Amino acid sequence: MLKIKKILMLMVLVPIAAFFFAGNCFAQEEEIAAGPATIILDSIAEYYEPVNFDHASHIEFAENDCAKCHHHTIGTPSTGTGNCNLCHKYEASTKIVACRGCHLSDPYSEEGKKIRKERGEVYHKDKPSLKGAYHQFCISCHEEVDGPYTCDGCHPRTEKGDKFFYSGQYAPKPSDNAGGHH
Amino acid sequence: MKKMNRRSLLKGGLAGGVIGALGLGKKAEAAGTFEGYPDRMGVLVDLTRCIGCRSCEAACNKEQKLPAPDKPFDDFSVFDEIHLGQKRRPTEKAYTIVNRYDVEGQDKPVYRKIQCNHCNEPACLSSCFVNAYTKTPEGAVMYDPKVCVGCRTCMIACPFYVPAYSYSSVLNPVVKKCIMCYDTRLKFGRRPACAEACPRETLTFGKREDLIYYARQRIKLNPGKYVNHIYGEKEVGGTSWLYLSGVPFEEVGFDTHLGNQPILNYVKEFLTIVPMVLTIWPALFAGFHLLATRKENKNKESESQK
Repeated sequence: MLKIKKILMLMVLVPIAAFFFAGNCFAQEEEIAAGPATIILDSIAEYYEPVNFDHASHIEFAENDCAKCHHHTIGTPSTGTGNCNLCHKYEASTKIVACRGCHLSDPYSEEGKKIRKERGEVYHKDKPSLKGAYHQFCISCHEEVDGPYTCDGCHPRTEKGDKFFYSGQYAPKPSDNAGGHH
Repeated sequence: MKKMNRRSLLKGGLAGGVIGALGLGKKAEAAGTFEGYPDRMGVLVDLTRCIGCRSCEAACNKEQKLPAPDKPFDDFSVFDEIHLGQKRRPTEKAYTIVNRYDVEGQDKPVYRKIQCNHCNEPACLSSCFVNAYTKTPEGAVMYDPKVCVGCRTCMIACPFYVPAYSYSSVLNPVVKKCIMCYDTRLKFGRRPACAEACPRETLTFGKREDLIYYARQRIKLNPGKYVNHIYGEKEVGGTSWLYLSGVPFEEVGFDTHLGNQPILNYVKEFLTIVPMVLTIWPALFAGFHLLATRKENKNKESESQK
């Protein structure tokens, strides 16, 4: 009886594991070739909708020079953004491609603090978070090339965001201004 | 077993005495040169990163449960507001505000966030005669409205003009200012709400000591990007909030003539005289007066006896 159960379990688990494994491999291979076509940036979406990042067209904008955004390179010579290469040029860590591989989505969470402690060294401590990295990097470039650089240009605000900013339907009514300014 | 003789006992006693004296000496010295709590936190503000999105203002409003603003936080016309010839300043309704500066030679405007700088030796604290202010070991300068008598001396003492007054409250007006989210966040090791909301990480939270190191690294690794100065490292004895800028600080509204002395130092000598004047002088001069008039009194007395 037990044996049958075990076999049944295996029959269910093995295909699932195989599916995930294959999926991962496939995704990785594809990423190395050209990167995913779109990436959904939603790790902390709260006041704004997630960003549907059109990776494919950004490859075109960057004229296939991946290093314009990915500091250490995927085949193309580095244009020198970021300081990672100063120490890690010949190390396995330069093989990390995704932004989230190095830039933490929440460096101040317990987990984030642990990772930062493990990494040590001042350069790692002062590295921007995932959110910081996107906003510093994307906006700087968008301003230069006239891409969208206002908040709603990349991610529309949610209703929660409207409430946070006292905007839209939550905008202060003119009568509220009676108190004046001090 | 070693025998204890008179000489070794004396030697030991002498050494112990010397160590004791040294220890005392060190303690006394430390009290005079206290350089602030070692693990105090702070925020490094990198002006080159700020884009004036006002998310920090919205976050502060939410965290501190402040009243609704006059204008939405995504209304950028506030940058053009001038009140009594000045750009915006923190108020009872907004503990932090962002101002825009158009600096000559810069193709983009520069934004500057203003809030309490949480001084190492706060002038507001030393000016307060009811001790409503405290500097916590975490670095925040706290204010206790329960003991405040509303004299507003702190508002005049503050070199950055930060404390605001709730003039709108008729019955219980109190001083209002940024407390670095001490109650809700800093106390638990979390960064202030504004720092968390900032999309570009203009605000970096950390140990003040580390922040100064990061700031130096940023200046060093980005030649030409920054002015070689960390505002707040030394100004008025140092502040918990530190600033990096790509343009001279005076061009974005910073007071660069405050000096590096804590404000307290300018009045310390005078203030130490006050208790002496108030207690010793009356007794002393009353004594002089009595002595001087003693003879006269005696004469009067002897005259009346005649």
